[in-house]
Amino acid sequence: MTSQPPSTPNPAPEVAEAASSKIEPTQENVRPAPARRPRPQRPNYRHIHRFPLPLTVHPLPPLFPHNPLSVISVVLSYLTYLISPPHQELYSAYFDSNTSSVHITDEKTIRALWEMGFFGKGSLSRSEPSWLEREKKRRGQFGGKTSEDVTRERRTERRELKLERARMEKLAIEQRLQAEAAAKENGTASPDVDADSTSNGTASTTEKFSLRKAREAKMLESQQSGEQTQMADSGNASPGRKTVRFSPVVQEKQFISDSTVLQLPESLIDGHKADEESLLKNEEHLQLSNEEALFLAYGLGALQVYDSDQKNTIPTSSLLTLFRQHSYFPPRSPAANLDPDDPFLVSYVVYHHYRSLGWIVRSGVKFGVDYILYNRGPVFSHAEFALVVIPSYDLPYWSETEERRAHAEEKQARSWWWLHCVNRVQAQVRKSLVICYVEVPPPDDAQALGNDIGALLGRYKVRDVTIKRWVPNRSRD
Amino acid sequence: MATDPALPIPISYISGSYYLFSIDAVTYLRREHHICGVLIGTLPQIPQQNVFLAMPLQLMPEEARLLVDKGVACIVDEIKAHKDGMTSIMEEDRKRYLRDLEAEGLQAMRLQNRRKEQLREEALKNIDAKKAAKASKKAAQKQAVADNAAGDDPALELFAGGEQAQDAGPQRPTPSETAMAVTPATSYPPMPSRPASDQILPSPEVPSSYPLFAHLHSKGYFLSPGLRFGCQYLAYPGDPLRFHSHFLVVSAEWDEEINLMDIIAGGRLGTGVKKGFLVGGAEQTGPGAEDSVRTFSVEWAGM
Amino acid sequence: MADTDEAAAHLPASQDSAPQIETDLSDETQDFRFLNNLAFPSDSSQTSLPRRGEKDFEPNPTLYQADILDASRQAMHNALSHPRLHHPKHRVIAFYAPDGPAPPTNVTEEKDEKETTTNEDDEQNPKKATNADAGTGIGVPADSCVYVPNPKGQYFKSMGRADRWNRVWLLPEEALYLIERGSLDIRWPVSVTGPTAEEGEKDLGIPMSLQAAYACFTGRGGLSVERFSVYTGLRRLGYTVIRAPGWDDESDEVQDEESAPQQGLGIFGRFLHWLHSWNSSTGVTTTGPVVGLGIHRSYNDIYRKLAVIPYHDPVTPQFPRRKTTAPFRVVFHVYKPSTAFRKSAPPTPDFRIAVVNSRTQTTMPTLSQLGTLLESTPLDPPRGEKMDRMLYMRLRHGYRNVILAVVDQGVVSFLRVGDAAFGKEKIYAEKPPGPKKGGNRPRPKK
Repeated sequence: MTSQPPSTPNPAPEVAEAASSKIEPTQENVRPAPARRPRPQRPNYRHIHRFPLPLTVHPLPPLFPHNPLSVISVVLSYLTYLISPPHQELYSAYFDSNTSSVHITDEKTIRALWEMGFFGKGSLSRSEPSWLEREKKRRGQFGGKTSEDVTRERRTERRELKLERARMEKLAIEQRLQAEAAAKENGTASPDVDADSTSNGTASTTEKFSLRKAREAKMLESQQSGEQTQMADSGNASPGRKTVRFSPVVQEKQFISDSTVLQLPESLIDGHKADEESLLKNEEHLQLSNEEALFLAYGLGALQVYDSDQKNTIPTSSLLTLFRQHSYFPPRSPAANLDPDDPFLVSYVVYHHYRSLGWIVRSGVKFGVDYILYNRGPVFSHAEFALVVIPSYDLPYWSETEERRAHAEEKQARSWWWLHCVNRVQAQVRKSLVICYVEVPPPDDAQALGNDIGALLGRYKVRDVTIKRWVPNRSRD
Repeated sequence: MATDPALPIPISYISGSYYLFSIDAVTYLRREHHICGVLIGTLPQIPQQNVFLAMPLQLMPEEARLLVDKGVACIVDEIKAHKDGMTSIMEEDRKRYLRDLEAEGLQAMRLQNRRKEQLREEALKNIDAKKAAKASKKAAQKQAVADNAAGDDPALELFAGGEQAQDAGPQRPTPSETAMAVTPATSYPPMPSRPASDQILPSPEVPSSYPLFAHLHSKGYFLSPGLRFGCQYLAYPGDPLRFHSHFLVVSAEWDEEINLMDIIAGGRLGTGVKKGFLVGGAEQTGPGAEDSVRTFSVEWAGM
Repeated sequence: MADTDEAAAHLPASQDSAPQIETDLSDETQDFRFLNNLAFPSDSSQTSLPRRGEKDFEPNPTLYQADILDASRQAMHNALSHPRLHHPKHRVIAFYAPDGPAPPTNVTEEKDEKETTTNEDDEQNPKKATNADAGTGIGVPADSCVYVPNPKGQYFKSMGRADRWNRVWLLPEEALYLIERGSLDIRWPVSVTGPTAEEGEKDLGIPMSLQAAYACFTGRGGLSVERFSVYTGLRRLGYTVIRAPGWDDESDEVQDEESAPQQGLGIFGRFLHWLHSWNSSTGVTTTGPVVGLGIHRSYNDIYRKLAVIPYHDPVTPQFPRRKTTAPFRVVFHVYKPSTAFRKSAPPTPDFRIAVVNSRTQTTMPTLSQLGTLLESTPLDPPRGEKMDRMLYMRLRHGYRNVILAVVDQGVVSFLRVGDAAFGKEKIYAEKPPGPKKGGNRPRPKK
């Protein structure tokens, strides 16, 4: 995990704003920087990502209306470009029908598309293609741990501590039960609970076992005999009791598999260290979503997409059709008609719209939404907005027949619990939920539009609304 | 202490919703049948807040249905019951009822007077104690302290802020013997305690999530409406008074296509608040099968 | 660079042990033993609430735990058994009028006795008497069903409407709210229950129970229990809540649109614009590239050309104006406790609320429903010094807004919906933060 603590230089604009003005500070990810292990010098993201799109621009010299010289220099620069037009990079990718996505293997292209506009995702990485770097680090060429390693270790530790905590809780309950049984035998009443007392309500059995306590106990235990471990094992078997702790079997398995993952590399390195270092080649490719690919090809003209054989480029209009077919599962056959509300088209309209406003649009699948919107890019700040796309069938066409009404109703129905669920998830990760409605036009007359993508897109319309939980208790001021 | 109500307990049906108005019924159903409902009324003791609410208790149709099916409760058309009932109270009953209410009101008045008396004495004692303490202080401070006492002393403020402050005066008050008026919680009495048979309604209609609701309830879970938390029900391992919920529950039809994104969101939400996201529904089996509900718990592994 | 957003979930403040943004005490069932700590009965000076209590993870077989649970339940039982009492000095008596507003039955008999006072009142409030209202003939809303002959107390500042006999008539939600909080002693009319007093005595009738109040008032005059839950929940917190015109199915709220000022380009700007469009090849939207094949002068140019998707502009008035349909219509106007409120001339509401029963309307609104609802509210653009500075705040605020109160069996959940119009904020034109850390950013102009 290599997130940016807010103390690093050049905080994102909104973070800085919130910090200075103290408005809804919790909403803006402002908190004291946690003490962390020293990290290597942060790359100069401002420089690496100085171009927002994989296109080069050639600004005109400044024009001062009162200065004839500046006019001449402007005209000159026009002439220069007319005579020798600057070269515009055209990147290549190919469509992989098995994964219904677009792949890029060329190292230079991968860097270019990631650095200029944050397109795509490393096939072996969470986001930025960084497998090779991580792999090198893992094999000790650089020393130090990768963020994935740290995460894994942290998770393993947490899981261990949770098991420990559960064991301690169980032990306390058993002690309490024994005490109660003893009290019964002695004829004394069980410790009384006063109806009015709340202070001791969670003492003893109900004492909260913090992870820190568990950690301390663990330390203590490691110095003692293994006798207690056996107790823990027997304590794990408690039939007929409800618990939300996921089954011990599963936890055990995760535990084991995790530790093997951790240990495996050592043996590998031992065995093949010599020849591996020289053979280490990047096994990762950049994977573009179909929306990204179409935007790069159709919107920017910066990408050409080859077919699966990597022989012929796919013309843009065919590319759109291909993506639309592949937005169904299984993909529609070329003979079948395409619908104006096919998932790709609706999704692309939204993608293109927010890209055209300058947002960095990336998948929001981790947060249960369609897209998340970054201002400038993920290396600069967290995404503030989470986008959910819902088609809308407002036009008269969609209510003309019973069949269409039923279709529209099914497509735009979203349950209340789902909305609350998604909204709560965004609150957990401090994002604002945006519902992006896309008004679906009637089926297009292919002849009339003559494969005009622009005309097709122009028939859609987006409307976005923000959703936020309103807490009356906090809106009274 | 609570007295157990006579069975079956009448559940009031009013314009599409189910209610309980008797505290004994509420306590009994909570303890014996794990039915909690939702308190929706204002607590008259502290009316300006939403944390502790009071009667009536609104029941989900699922809860009402479950109780009716168990033979613990019956559904009463409360609008009809009141229309019929209030016009046909015998004069004798009316008068007895008003006498009873008056007696209750007198009792309440005496209680309150006694309590005020206690508070007043405590307050006076406090003031005396403080005065004594202050008197022993240095002479130079005396004047300032005395000035402060009037304004800052919390006991004094309590005393002055009480309802009785104006009329109490320095002399002993004579407790008024007028009765408090009482707004009763239920209409039985004066109406007859058992509803007439033509006021009984059929078993409540329930949503398609009912099999899952009944299944989890039969496993000992306490269930409450979950919409605010992003699900259909919250499932508690015990009484919600003392336990946090374990599951966010969502019901699905057996053949229903579930959007993967919904599972991601549900799983993420659940894991984020240390709960399980539980999807379940009745399996389409033969008519003989009793409880065919299957449940699946989703957790975010964060691999 | 692993993604920073994943990290956001692990930040300390988002652990549920720490206070979360969303934490609200009324979210979960509270242990009533905490209530017992408060002084009561009827000690209104004590209004502070306890902190939230600790709970156990799961049941265990210890007696200890069972005893605590019993104590909690007993505390709940005690708290909920507390009767609604009316001290003779503060008691406000009201009468249920099952048939709606009507002149006093004994108006002819009592006229002689009361004439002097009535006349006085009429002279003092000539407006009240001539107030034409809802065809009830006595100047109060037709849905009123409870009247208070001697209105006293703070509640009537924001509730009820007086008739010319100086009785204040209450709407069903107002009556139910007041009886529930123990502030109103409502009586059955003698015409329903029969006389209860001896000849010659003043007959107050039988007190109405809470149960009877629910039976009589919910379902009456458009008052669903969901609407009531929203009403009473906000009233309890001190808000003033009144019915909006959209309460009844027929009427609709009509808002006057203010037209947005159009920003014009200067002549010089237009010249530059022309120069740009002349130079760069026009975008090829048919098959792309949309940005064109020519030389790009600036990224802003590129973004401008990319803008091919139409979007809704909330500032442009929509014609023809669509009619909202229940439940997606504003039924309550809500005022903060701090807002000065006069019931004779209610100011512009602080919040507008639509109430939805999640069991009958199981799906969230479609765009058409939500759009119509938003368009029924006035334009409320994100303006002000703070908004001008903060892009995200502008977007979150939106150009119109409404609150949806979604009620699931007594549990109300409020959602604020803002008409955002991301399309109106070209963030590519926003200045990136200055080169020096902590450097002052120039305030972006609108």
